[in-house]
Amino acid sequence: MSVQYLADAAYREEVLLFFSRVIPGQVIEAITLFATVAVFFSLMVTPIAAISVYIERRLSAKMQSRIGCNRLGPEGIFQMVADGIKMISKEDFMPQGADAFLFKFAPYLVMVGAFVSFACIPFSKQLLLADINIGVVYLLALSSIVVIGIMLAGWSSNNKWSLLGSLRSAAQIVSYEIPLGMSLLIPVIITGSLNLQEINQFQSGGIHNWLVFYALPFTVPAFVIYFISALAEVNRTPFDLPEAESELVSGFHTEYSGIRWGLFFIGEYHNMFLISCIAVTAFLGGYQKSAANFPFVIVSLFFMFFITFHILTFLPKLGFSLFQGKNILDMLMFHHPKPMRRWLRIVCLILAVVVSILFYINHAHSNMIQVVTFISKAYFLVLFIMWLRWSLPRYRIDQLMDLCWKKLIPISFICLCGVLVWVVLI
Amino acid sequence: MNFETQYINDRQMELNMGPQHPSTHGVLRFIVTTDGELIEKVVPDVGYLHRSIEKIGEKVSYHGFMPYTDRVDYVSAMTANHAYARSIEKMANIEVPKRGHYLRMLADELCRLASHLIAIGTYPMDIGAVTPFVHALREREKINDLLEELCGARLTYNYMRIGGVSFDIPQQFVSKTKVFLQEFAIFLDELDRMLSENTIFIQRVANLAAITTKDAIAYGLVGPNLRATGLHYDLRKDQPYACYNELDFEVPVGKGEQGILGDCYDRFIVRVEEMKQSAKMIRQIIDNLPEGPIIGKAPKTIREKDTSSYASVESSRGELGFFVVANGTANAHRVKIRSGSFAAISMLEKIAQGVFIADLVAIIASLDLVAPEIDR
Repeated sequence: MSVQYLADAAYREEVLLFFSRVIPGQVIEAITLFATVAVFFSLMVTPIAAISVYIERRLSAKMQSRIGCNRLGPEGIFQMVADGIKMISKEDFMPQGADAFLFKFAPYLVMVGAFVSFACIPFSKQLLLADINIGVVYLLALSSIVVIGIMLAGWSSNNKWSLLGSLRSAAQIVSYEIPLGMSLLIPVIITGSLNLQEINQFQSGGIHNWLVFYALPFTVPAFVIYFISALAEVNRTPFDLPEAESELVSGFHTEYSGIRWGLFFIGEYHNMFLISCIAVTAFLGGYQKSAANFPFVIVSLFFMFFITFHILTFLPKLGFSLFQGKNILDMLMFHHPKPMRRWLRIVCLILAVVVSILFYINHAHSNMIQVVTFISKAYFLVLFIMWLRWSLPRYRIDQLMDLCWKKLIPISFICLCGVLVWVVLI
Repeated sequence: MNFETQYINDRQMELNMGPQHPSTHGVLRFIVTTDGELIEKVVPDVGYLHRSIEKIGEKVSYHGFMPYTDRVDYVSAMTANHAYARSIEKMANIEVPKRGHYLRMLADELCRLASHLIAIGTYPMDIGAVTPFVHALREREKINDLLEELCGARLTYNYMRIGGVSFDIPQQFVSKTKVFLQEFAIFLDELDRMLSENTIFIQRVANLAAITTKDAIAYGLVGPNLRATGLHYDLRKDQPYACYNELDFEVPVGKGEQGILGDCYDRFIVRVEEMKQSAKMIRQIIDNLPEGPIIGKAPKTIREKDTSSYASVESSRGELGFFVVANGTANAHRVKIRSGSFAAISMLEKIAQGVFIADLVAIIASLDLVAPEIDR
């Protein structure tokens, strides 16, 4: 119902009309706004970090010929719950001599910066919290809030490693905002709008309309530059200098533990998803219908069915053991699910293909389908970021600055000028 | 030693790196004076892992000291066994049968592979890439399995005896080793693609902290660190012990392929090349394993009148030597251990000036410091 509420404007009107007979209009507006935001965040945004962490743990394990978390629940998918419980129940430690207020305030800034940015990301034609006209500017502005949080965290920890980490982070994020902003200007120039929804609608009609292919010699480099500088913005390898584990212990969050550390962690994964969302919106066609979405949708649906089948086969066993009065934790820990049977995998794949074809046919009319298209593409970029993280070493601070100021900024400037000429002439 | 800085101006900051730090490879401590990210001075503070192994050598019998030599350098325990056994054999004129020599060389080279895998695995980890480390440890695990079949232990082997070795190779050891060597060749290929030819890795380590041959000799650097400066010096070739003169192998030296001669990249690539040579040696050893006894005749209680002996082997970290002084009793009068890491850490203060904090970590990793070998 809540998704329908978000998605369907007519339904929203109806509900509002119903309540307005009893309660004054402004109160209703405030409540509905609050409810919308709450539903949006709890359904769409909050699980992202947990799912990303799970995916990253399994993916890195595969890359490193390890097994990874497979104990808690089928294929270890309840591991994220266990992680959350662990973080919340840990001691909230603050070092001696730390600036108490700033120390406690900093994680919220980082997390809020990441969360609030999702407000103007168009997940589908209707699923969009705030359809603001200056969406691109809003995103760029909010990305600077994160760096304030990191600076505060490093400064208030009363630890030299944290301080070094936060200073690195400040230099890095401020520098990389320039190529990031310049490459994000290119979609703006092409579409003539700062509104992300309009940028998205410009790309409807197939892969050839995606902005990354609009002016090939300039937009492809611009997309690459956007991706590189966004990686640097969110401190992911090969640009994870602010939290370089082997050098700075763990950088700006060295002194954090428990849920405060968890907030940084969640913020990092949200940021990762956010930059992928922006890349999809601005360059890769957003939620628009095109045949190129097929592979993304098929793969993500396959994994969705795969995990769902696992849980479905697991739940009866769980219920039975509860009925017998067994300890639920024991059940979760010592239940070793058999590897998925091959025919079941094939069933998953066929289902995924069938459903994605239905999606393709029904694309324009269904909200959820657009959302799946969008999120599957975004997760594809997230996987790419993870792949980079587990295979590349880290840059040094001077090489990082060289890359930004001597390479990315000139190239992005050339791309910007080139696109300007292209738009005028062609 | 007093480590308090006399004067710190308003640009400098003193950082205490270790003894608990993710990349100091054991309990090592560095007092680092920095100007922002730039390092102005590094003072290594050793001694956190001191276990008085040399003193223990005076209190236990010659045979009884063998397990302690494992702990001198627990990443490459076989070579320490070998060096100590050689020193006592030299002092007491004990003959080692040929098969014993071959088994010693086999154990040495397997252990060198294991040790270099740690060295080149932790190196990228300190630079930020975790995956090569896990892959290297996966290969090392196979070696540990082989050595466990050989002598029952996985880390501190206590395999060698004065006069030979304790166990002969078990059944199917040769075929298992051959299988391992095949898989190892694949791993080395992967490593080249993943690391040796990785642009970011080369940018990070090339031209960094180059050591000239003259400096290296002046500081007493040995092993791969010395060979990376371009000097052709390997005890296995220059003072052949055991039966190394019967094996066909080359001594890889640094060539300055990606930058200055003797930089961090050379130290890395010399170790990789050395692993290829070790694999080649192992293949020769298991093909030409002679028949015969594995241990010669050694007295149960060795009593030597006032003599001394020094013998060394080419350990994974260079020349590892045991200087043993006898005084007529059943115990040694004095045992002195000469280790490669100790010389390498003394070099750090000279080469780690004016580099970044991130570089310091890379330099420490490139020297392949192992804390127990420094402190003993």
